[in-house]
Amino acid sequence: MKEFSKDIPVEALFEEGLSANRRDFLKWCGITLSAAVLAACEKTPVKYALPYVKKPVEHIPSIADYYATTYFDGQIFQSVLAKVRDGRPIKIEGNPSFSPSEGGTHARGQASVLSLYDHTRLQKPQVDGKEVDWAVVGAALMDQLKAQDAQNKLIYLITAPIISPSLQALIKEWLAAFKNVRHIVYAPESYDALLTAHEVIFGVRVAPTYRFDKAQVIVGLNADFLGTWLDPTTFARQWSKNRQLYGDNTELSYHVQFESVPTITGLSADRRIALSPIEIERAVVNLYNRLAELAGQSPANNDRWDTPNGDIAHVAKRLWEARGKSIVVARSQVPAIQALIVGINLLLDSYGNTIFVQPGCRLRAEKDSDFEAFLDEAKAGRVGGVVFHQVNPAYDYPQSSAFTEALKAIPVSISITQYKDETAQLCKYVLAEDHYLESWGDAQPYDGLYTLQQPTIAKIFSTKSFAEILLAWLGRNESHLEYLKGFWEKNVYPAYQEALKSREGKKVQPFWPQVEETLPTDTAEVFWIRALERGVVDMSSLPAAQPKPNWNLAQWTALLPSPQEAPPLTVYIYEKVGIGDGRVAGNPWLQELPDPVSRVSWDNYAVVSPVYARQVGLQTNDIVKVSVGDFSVELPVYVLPGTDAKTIAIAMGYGRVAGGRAAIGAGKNVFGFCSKLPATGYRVCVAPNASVTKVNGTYELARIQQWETYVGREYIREASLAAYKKDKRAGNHEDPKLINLWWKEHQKPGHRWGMSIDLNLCIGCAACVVACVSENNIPVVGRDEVRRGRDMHWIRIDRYFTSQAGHTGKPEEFPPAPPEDFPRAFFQPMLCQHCDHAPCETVCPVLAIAHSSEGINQQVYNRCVGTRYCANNCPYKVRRFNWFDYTNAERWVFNPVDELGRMVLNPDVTVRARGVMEKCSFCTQRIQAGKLEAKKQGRPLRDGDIKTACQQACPTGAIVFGDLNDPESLVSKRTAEPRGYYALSELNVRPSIRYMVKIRNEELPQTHHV
Amino acid sequence: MELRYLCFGFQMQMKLTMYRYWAIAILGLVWAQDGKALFQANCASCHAINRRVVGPALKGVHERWGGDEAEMAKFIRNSQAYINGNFKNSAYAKKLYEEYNKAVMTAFTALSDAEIKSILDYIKSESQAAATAAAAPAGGSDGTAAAASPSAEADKTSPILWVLVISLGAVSIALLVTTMALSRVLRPETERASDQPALAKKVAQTLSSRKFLAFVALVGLVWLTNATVKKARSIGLHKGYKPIQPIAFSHKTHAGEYKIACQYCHIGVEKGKSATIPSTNICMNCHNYIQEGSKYGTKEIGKILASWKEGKPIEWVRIHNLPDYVYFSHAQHVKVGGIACQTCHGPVEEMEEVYQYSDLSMGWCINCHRQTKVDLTANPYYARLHEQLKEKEVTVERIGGLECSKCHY
Repeated sequence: MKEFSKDIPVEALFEEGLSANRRDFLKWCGITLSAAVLAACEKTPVKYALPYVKKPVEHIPSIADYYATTYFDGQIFQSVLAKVRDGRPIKIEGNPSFSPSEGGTHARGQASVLSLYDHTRLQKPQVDGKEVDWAVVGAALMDQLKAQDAQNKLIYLITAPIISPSLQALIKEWLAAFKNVRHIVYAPESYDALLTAHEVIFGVRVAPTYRFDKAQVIVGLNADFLGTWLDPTTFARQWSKNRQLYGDNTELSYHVQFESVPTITGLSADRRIALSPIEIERAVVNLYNRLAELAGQSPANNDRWDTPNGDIAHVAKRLWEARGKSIVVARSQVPAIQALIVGINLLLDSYGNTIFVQPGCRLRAEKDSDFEAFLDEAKAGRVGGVVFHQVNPAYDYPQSSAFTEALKAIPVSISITQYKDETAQLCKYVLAEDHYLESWGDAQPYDGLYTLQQPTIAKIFSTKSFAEILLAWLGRNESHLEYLKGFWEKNVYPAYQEALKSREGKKVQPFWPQVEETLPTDTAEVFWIRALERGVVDMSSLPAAQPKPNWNLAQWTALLPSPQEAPPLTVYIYEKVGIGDGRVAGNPWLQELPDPVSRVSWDNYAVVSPVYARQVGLQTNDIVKVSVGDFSVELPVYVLPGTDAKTIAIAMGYGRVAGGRAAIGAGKNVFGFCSKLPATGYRVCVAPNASVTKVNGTYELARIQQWETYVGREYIREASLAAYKKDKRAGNHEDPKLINLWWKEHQKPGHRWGMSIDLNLCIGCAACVVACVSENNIPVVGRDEVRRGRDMHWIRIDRYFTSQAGHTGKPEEFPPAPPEDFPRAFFQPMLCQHCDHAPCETVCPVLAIAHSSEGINQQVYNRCVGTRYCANNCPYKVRRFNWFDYTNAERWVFNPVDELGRMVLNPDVTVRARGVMEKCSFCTQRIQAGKLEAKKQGRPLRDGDIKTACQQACPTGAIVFGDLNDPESLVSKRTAEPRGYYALSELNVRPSIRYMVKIRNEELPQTHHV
Repeated sequence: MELRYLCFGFQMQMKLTMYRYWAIAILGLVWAQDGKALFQANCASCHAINRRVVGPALKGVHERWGGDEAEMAKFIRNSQAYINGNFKNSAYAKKLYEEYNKAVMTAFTALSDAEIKSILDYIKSESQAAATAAAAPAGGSDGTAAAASPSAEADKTSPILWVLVISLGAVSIALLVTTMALSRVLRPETERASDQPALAKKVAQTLSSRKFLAFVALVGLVWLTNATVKKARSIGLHKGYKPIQPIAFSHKTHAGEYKIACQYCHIGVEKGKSATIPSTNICMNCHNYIQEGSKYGTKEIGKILASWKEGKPIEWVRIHNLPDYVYFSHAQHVKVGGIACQTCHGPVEEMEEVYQYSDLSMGWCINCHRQTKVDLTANPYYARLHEQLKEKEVTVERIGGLECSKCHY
């Protein structure tokens, strides 16, 4: 179906039709009438109901089952529960049994279910671009690799970090089949420096395990650990533990972030300092120097640089005071810098208290020099075969032409991938890989913490998991499940028994908080089934001591960059929360998800500071050519307050030319700005000495939010911790006595639904936004419609900056220019407030909005005639109008409009038609389901039985939903907190959502909003 | 619902055994009511008292088990464990298991001791009743059955009344016609001749008068409007929809004659939104053994066997189609509300072919929600609501049953 494919020829009709006489007119009337009658005579279509032949015992049609499984895309790890309705996974939830993140999720985990039903995935293996059977690429392909091996050529296996222990064992077995073989790990966003620093200092090549929940002072340097860095969901959960200001607690952790471009981590911090990437490195050295002085040790060098405000000295002092209770983390690809970070943490006594090398984090394993060696070998013609898995160097290797050349010299090139991405297009053999929801597997994200992965749907296409391919290559005649189960029986089961034994009598403490009972270990089978059910096996232990560090400062100081003034312009390549390094760029939900900080969807852009923009006369949407050395790229400008004035920040992960329906045509590829460190081969994402020239023309970015500040209106409220300690209503105020238009209050017996959103905990990570999209069948409208302000998200996270500059409030100053000075920022989740005195309800001419006795503002799609009066009258701008037939018309290519794509839809939520208004329903379907379950069991509803999708997805617990009529419910308690306020309370619309004042652990400079 | 079920069961009981020897049956019923209900719900799909169904006839089961009800309870709870275990009657159970083609009896772990006891009591009384009935000559009369079943009597009165009214009406018309004919015959010839044109003229005048035409037009208009509105309101409603199903499955035979509980096949009805169409394996629970029917021989049952063998689902035609934006939950109505299936689906147990009994319009839903009373004391879920509401009688409407997003979301 196509909407408005051609213009209706109205003029032509009039030219001919107007000359008709009375008889013709009557004839036409008759024909029209009979046609209408005929059309109305259509029979109701016959519908069929197909039952199972043999119904699975545990499943009852129309009731969802949840299966614990594991998401790992090579970058982001999530232990998840897949909600399966009648055989189709439709929603991803966090697994509460996974103690590091306790059921929190990441936007990418939430969105992963959409890619399952993507018809642009590889559907069969291919040889030279032609689809073939699996037999062709089975043992025969292995023979080809062996033939190369026999000729003394090298065989390479290049993968993302392998965190699956069973797969590691299988790879080992496969490697043993060759004489000359290497397995290397590659990642475009490299943590090699971090790993190397720990390898040299502690003797183990692992990323350490961070425990932000044990830290009172947290310092981040360009490490977006709440959004993208290492294991953000876990860190967000841990971070939130010390940000809870409820009841009598008046203590907050102190979080300082130094960063070049605003990230959600920086905007959530108590103090945020904008520095160029070069200055960040210098800050690390100076932080070390100051701490070494405080500790009475020798500094790294004589540099004593500081920001104008003396932030480094201040931070050093705060860190030193909180020794043993502090963490310093940095995103830097320079090993010496990462080593100094280790040094700082050693000075602060963090290892063994807040940072642990044992157990280590297994999510990273890349080594940049290995890949350089591969390229050299390949160029020399010494590589006979290469297998790629979960990597795409043709796209994300900085000198991609060098890679392309190298690949040409390799006779047998194999890519195991879900999409025919840039690398797969260059390979002779392309092996179609399963989606993670279709296959078995396991993972060990942290030492001693295992998770299981299980299929939740039969394979949609003719695909295989990596392990199945390896099993076939090895000629092992067993299924993936048999292999996995056997591996667990031999390895994990006895290890778990050992761990339980060692924990007896509290000899050994478990490392992670124990959220559940231990698993039964009667037999291997019982253990397997219960482990599969829970999805997590925790045999972690807290070692008595950490490995002794071999700290040799001189070794590193030699490698440090010499202290220098920051160059005038540095290009800084960063990751966005949704798109990351671009491996998930094919997912339309993630493309449409606006970046939490810039609020732009579908593109990347050159982020510059307002100061720089004023200096060179740039505005948002201007196009500039950014070049460093030989590489240049043309991009639209985005002027973002809080960006360092000497930095041009550009997000990686865009500009894909293959792989996934939404990936192509979104933004530009900027990996070319990344470069190798001389001699060592470490890839860094910082390019100093950039030049910027303005190019003619503009490019309109798809911005969801156009205003940067909240111009002093008090829907955002904040206070300092010191003020809060004096007065718990600091920053808050009593609402004036307001006149009420309604003379009668409606009784709300039974339940009365309400929500509490704590601005202190909201980090803007946007997991809730994707969760809502997934739960409520929200369409993807694409870049053009977002530009027109027609985004459909039911929940959005508004981002506001404070401004010291201020403006007079005169109409000509609206919208106010982005503030130049350093701003503080706020994230405010905004969704339908379900007002008791809802302005939308009174203006609907057809009563399509009704208020329920449980306090829900009910939108009735089948009554709505699309006047949109309600949206105009809504002070929160949370109503969304279906301008087009988003879910059926082929024009909306990014929407699941085909039969396969529609399988992702939640059958418990109506798919809205064109021309109707929609908005947040407080997840009515979940309320109804929760109430029914309580009624079926004959018990009162318990607090926590019903969770909205946004609440369930939130990694920090900022959103709490529940029954306000129940005085014991968490939402009632939070609503009664003195920090609570209603957004736009002066309007007296009586919302059901109560926000909580943001408290910063910092003295707040006076800001002028208006 | 309880009462209704009992009445229904009572009436059926009469038909089967009571009309032969009703006095003993009534005695049995008085103290085996629970047992009977439990038997019907749990056992009747595979067992009967007097004949072999899927499992053996249960008449005299106490004698066969040496009267040890504790052992019998163990068997009922988990027959497989009993057969494979080392219990008092394990050998007998194993023999029985092999005799019945190793058909596994469902394990009834959820039944309490008291419930098993009442089922066994019911079987005992039934066995005795059957035995006595066999010993005594067939007794009782149709009169006693009617007297023992007041509800059946009430049901029968109305058709009789109708027949009476109709036949009386017919007789009156016949008499009227005869009288008219007779009076015409009895009138003199001349009168009859002159009378004819005058009457015709008068009739013609009346028929062509403006007043009469206007009256007819008005009546016609009113009728047409009424019919149009009625018809228009039923557009999209499919009351009476009775499609031809792929298998001539008879609810009358299964639910009516054999009294298989609805929930035995429609397993989701108390759990989820959908009552669920039974999967082939549920059919096969019985049709593994019953491979020939009384009406169609092997023809219709053969289709089930084919589905089972080929692994192809049976393509039933959906009868009850709600619009996509309506979220109706069977569990809410059946499990929570305690509504009998027949309330919405009509007398399914009498339907040879199932048809849509109610019109399933929103007005129909709303009417019921306006009228149906909710007992807030019955389910602890409503405890707080019960405290807060002052009214004595609460309808579904009062607790939000008419609110949009209860069904539309």
